[in-house]
Amino acid sequence: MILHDSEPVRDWLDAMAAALRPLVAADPGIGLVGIRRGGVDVARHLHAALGIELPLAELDVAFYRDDFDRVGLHPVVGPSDVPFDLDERHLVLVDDVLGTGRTVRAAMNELFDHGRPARITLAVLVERRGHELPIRADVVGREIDARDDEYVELDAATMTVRVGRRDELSAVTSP
Amino acid sequence: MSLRDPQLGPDGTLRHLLDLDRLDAAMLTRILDTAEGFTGVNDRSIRKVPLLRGKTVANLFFENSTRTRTAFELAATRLSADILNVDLVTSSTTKGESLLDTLRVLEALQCDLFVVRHGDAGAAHFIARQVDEAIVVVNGGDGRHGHPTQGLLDMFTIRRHKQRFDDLVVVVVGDIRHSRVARSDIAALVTLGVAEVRVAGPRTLLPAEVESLGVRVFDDLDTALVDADVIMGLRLQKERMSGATVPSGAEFYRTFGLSPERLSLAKPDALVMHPGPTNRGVEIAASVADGPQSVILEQVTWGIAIRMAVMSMIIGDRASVAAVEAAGAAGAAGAAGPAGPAGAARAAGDYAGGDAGGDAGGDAGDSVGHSTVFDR
Amino acid sequence: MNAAYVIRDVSLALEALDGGGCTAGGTLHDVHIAGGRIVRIAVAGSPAAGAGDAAAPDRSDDVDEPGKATVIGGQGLVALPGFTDLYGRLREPGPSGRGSLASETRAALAGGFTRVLCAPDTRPVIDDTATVELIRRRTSDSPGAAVLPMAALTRGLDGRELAPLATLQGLGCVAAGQADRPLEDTGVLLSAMQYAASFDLPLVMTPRDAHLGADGCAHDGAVASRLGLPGVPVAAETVALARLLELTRESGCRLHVSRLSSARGVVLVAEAKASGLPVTADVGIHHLLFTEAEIDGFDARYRAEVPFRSATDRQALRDAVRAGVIDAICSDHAPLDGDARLAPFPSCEPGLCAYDRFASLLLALPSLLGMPPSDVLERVIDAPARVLGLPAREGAGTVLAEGMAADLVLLDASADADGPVFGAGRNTPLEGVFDLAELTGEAASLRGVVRLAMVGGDLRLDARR
Repeated sequence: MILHDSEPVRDWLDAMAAALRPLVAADPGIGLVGIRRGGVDVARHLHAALGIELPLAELDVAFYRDDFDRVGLHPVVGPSDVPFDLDERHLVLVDDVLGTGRTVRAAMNELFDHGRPARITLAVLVERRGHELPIRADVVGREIDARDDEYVELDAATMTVRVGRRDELSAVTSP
Repeated sequence: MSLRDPQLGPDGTLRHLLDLDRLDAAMLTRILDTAEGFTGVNDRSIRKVPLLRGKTVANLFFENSTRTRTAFELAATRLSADILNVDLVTSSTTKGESLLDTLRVLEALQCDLFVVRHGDAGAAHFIARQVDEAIVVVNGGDGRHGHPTQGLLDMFTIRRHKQRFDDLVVVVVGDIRHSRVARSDIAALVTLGVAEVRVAGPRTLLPAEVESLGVRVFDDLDTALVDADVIMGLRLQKERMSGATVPSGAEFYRTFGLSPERLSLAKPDALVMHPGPTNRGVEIAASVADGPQSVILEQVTWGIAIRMAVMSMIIGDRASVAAVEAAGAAGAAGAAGPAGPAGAARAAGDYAGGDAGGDAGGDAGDSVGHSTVFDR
Repeated sequence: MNAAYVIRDVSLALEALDGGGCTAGGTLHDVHIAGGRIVRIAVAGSPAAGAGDAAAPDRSDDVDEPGKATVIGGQGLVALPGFTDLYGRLREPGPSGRGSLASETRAALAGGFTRVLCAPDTRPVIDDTATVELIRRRTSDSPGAAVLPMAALTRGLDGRELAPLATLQGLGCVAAGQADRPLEDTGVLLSAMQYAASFDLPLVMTPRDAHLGADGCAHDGAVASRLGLPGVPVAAETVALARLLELTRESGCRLHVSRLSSARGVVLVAEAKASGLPVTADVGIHHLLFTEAEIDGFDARYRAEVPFRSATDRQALRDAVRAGVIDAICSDHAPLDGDARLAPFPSCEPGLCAYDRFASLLLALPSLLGMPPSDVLERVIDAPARVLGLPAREGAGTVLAEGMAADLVLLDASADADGPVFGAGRNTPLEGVFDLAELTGEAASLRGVVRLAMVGGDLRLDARR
């Protein structure tokens, strides 16, 4: 298992903020949307670093996932919280790990049920191989070349990123 | 009891919603938590999610109830399901076609879920045992036995205001004997571990051995209301008001009606609840029903989220169980573990690996803060 | 019948087994039957045993010797006097599909009954000559257990006008009753009881108030309350029973209380007997086994006309049977067709069929009730005869004796009842169940099969392997 500890991860976040700063400067009304839960943790750091005016929006995509007919209803954290009007707005959609792209698709579907954004910029902490949909991030903290049988996950409490084998997961449950 | 309960699957997944008696606190909480998520949907401009797109929900109402039927209809619509309203009150069943014949015809229409409202206690259980395995049955009220979605939305309402159940004193007042709402509420309150459930009403309106339901009986409403946190009124049906059970609505109000004076005996922040429609001046004073402590209208709102949660959870659980079984049958690797949301997430193909324990435990409380390791 | 039989190497008594159930016990005997009577009983293998067949090579085989008695092997079996049922629904005359005299009287034999008091709520009810004649004709055509018709107390069982009781008695009705229907008008009830008393016709009455729990479908207790089922309170039985007992005192009529269900009902019967009233009582065999707990989950298999009440009530019924306060055990047999249970619980037809498994249930009672097998047998052999005022059998009641009419059954006490079902109904929770624990949690072995039944020396059921 490879562990990227908090120092490098913080560097990636700084890189993302640097890439987004010009957008924010050009449009102070920009809205930041984090995808629960890992995307929200990343978005909080960016929200603070960029000094965005609007409050952070949080999306729970449980109701928009495309695997309902296979795995049932994903546990819901709570209702999505979008505290500003989306219409005609530039949004930055934030997630922790971009892999197949299905979560982002679900998030976009949900966003469009809230309103009609003018533009969506996708920012992810980690982009990895394995795209199944034509979705690519505009801003990436770090590309990680993990194999299909490996997982990549953010530990928000310590702000570290782990890469490991999926079949070892059962051992990697609690702290 | 030697008959299998059709409501729960072999690993505790919810296959139907028939009553609240046998659902444990974990299951009730899961439903309430899921409903929490759906409240967001009902607040925005596009009040729809695609979860049940392509599925058909049939309302089988053998008894009239515009209120309950429209609530289920709205919930199904907001899940993007198609609705079939089958009016069985005036249709073939009155011509002598048996309930079973009617069910066979409806099965042939290939619906995914039946919402059933019937005058016989046990009707939903009967239908669940009789129809094709693949059809989900949700009890919309069966005789005096149960109204589980009402019980759930009542619990949801209480939780929204009081946050916890274990220190609550809840008073259920009125015609408990004939009330399916009362039975579902009492079952849920007891399971969720409230401090005390008190029932109050004239003996003619209390069922035999009512204490065996886990309640304390009060002949006097005033005494029951002291320190109450929640007061749940029940509808007194017209036919009871002038028969041999209760002499008149006026006498009922005098003895067991929730007047403003009586309300003041309870805690100042006590909730006033009622499944509706209220008989003002009989069970409850108009000023109390419309007053600041009343959450009666709120209950109706939460009813939509609760029904959305129930329908999507059951259909979702069944889908995940089926997928696990199919994967197991095909000998797919990694398709191990129990079904149910987290287990299922660990299950099939692309999603192998699933949640690193985090989501299995329920999410907000996970101290490690693992991101989901679903495909991203 | 004129056929002669000899049953070889058969037990005449049941012994209780430690783990529950019964087995054949006592010395083996040979039983000789001729001219419809038991003509000789001798210890098997003794010189007095069998005339003319000492050379028979295998004594357990059935050997038909022309001009001689047919030999029936009794190895491992128990020969008992046939039981008498004080309440069985034979469904004929009536719509077919729920049984007929032919099917239900055969089923009765399979249960160990050679005589059945048949409930009057046939369609039409037994309130006129034609119906009694029809029953007599049908039963002579396809014989099973002997049928003793019960007259309807009132015309159509409507509770308003008396049926022609004296005429019906003359045609062979041995008792009169109201089946499961309440009789609301106390004046009519008193009049009927006085009238029956003038002809010394006993009444078989099920105590049920016309109004209390009229829409009930289960015992009005904790389970029905939780399930929201309309209940039948104990008071529905005891109020009606108190009325019947008072009117018995007034009229001098002989009263048999049919199918008690409650502890309080037992107390009332005990008090009435103690005060010298001519009262007897019975209980349906299922009421000694099941309680309200069985209906949990809306299990309509346990929907009965007389509901299964609380565990306390069941214990009181068991104690009363042991003490003899309840004189007899009946079947309360109620066959239903397949559709009867295809509805939600309150809309289902009530009733359990009882005949086909009756013997196996009876054999569980010595252990469940703490009674010797001979006492249990008394409750189904002597007591019903006494209740109906039928002539006492010669000899000791629960054991076959010389001179007795050859109404007898051969019982295999340890066999599983997995053979053919003779009755028309399948409405029993006991199909394929050989331990009561599977249904109620109370361990009791449910074994015992009637292999052969004879009525008046006529071999009417042969279910041997």
